[in-house]
Amino acid sequence: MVGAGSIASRTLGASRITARLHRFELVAFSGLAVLGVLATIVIAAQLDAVGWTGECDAAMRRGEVAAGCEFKINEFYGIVSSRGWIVSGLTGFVPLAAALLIGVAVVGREIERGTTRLAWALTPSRMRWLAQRLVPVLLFVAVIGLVLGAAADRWIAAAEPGIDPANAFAGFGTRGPVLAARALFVLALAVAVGAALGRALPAVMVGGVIAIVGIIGGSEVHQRILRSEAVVIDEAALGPGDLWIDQRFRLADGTLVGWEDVERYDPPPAEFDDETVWPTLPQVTIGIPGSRYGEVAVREIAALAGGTIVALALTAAIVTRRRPG
Amino acid sequence: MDFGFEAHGLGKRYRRRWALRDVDIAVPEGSITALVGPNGAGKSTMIKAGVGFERPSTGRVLVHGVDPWRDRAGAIAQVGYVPQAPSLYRELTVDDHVRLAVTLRPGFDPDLARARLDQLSIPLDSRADELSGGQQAQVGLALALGARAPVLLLDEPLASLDPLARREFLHVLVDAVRADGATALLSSHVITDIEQACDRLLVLGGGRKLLDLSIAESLAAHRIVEGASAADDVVGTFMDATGESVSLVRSRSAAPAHGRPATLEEVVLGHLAAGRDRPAVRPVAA
Repeated sequence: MVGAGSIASRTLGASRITARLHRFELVAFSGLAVLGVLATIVIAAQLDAVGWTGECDAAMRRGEVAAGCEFKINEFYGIVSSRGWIVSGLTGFVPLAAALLIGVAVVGREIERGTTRLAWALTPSRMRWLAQRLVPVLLFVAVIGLVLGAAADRWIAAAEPGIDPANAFAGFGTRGPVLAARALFVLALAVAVGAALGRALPAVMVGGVIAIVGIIGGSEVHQRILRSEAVVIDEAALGPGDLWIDQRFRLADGTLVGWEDVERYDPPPAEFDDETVWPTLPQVTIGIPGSRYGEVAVREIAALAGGTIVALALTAAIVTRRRPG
Repeated sequence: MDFGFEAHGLGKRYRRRWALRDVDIAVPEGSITALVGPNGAGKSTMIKAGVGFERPSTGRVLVHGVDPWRDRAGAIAQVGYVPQAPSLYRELTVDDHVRLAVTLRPGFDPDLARARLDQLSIPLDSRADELSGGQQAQVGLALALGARAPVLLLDEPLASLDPLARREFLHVLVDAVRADGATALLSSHVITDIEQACDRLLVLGGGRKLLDLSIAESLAAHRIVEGASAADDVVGTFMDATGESVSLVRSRSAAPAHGRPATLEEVVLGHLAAGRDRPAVRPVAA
């Protein structure tokens, strides 16, 4: 009978071996993640130091420039436009790139190099081998995704004053736990594609395309679901954290019409000048209140987790059946 | 008699080409059998079928009585496998490979594997990509032996080794097999080396079995003659080292022996020549 200590020792040993096999990628992406976190801390602190507050932002939305805000506006948006890409690039790119590049290597590179001939002939269970390879990299990508997702939350809070990241759709999908869920989904896809193709470089290309299509397609489906759940938000009540989906105009009887119909109910003036206001009908926004962010994020994470599980099950089926290369 | 490795009506087809067809063999337990044949003869295919890496198109393989395609886990537990190329992880040290084997295979004997490597002065802390081809092959063999499996399947492990490394490899193999009473099936092109190590000879050609005898029987059952007569039971005709055409004939106990005794290489060449002259396994009709 195998003791718990023996199993723990074997699991630890297997994790160490997997870490050595992916040492370059793990070190490189850990370094980039640390860089992303440091960049977020430093640049967000620089934004905080400007003192650009929600009041200034609210005043700007009303078309006013409050006293002392003009300088801050320039300085604040100067930092956002000149350095913001470093943060959003690192926090958004690193988890997904790590997932793709490590994912294709987990099975694909082993088949390509022929090491599966040794490993699969040694182990009575290919699933044991797959688990040993997969679990450490799943944990690594999850941690990288969560850490950089938290960094991206901090960035959004600093770069969009007046919003609460826990109740705002700004940067949806590129921050918080949703980013980690996307990274895990990409990892699972990359592992499956690597296992199917048995070659790392083609798997990076094919896996990358499938991941992009998967994420965009998934977002499109999610957007349609959100569209069906959208509510009317009065223009005045629209907050910076709300998800804008569409614009409508409210008729006197309360009916909502879109841009395509507005001319029928609110004919445009014969001539426009700078003072002309048209349409004159009150505008409303169709959207999702920012207070629903948490619930929508959980749903997105659940959908991505489902996709991840399907991709991992596909990998297991491929690994069980395929030749070792 | 018990058999370590059996093939019954074994056939393997890749698209329209048969790599193996209707092969029946039975490798007795405790023997070291040389599997010999030209490139494309089906040697690797047969060995891979034994590890469950290839699914037979027809027939089946049994490893220590277990069909790898029906019970892969059961079959793998019976097999120590040395692939054609050493297939080591270049990022890992030799000792990492031993640890890897421990995590992957229940019952793996790391002390045995380390002792074998120590005997050969292969440093455990060396990375796989720092080892010579011979050392890499020895690591592959040590891992297969550490599995303490009753059957060893070795897929041309000698192909890329120099003569000294080949001799060392075979020495370790023979010692281990004799000590453990294991059964080994060793595919190779290098007939002079296997003559010392193996006790059986299995010749494949064109996807078919051409010869399956003990080494002693193979030598006793054949002679070499120049200018064979119609009375001779000619197996095959080929050119010897001097460029002369010679024939391998079957010895007949009733008839007076003529010609000279055949070497093992000549036995193999004669049967391969026969296999070459015989209609090979044809592609499947479209």
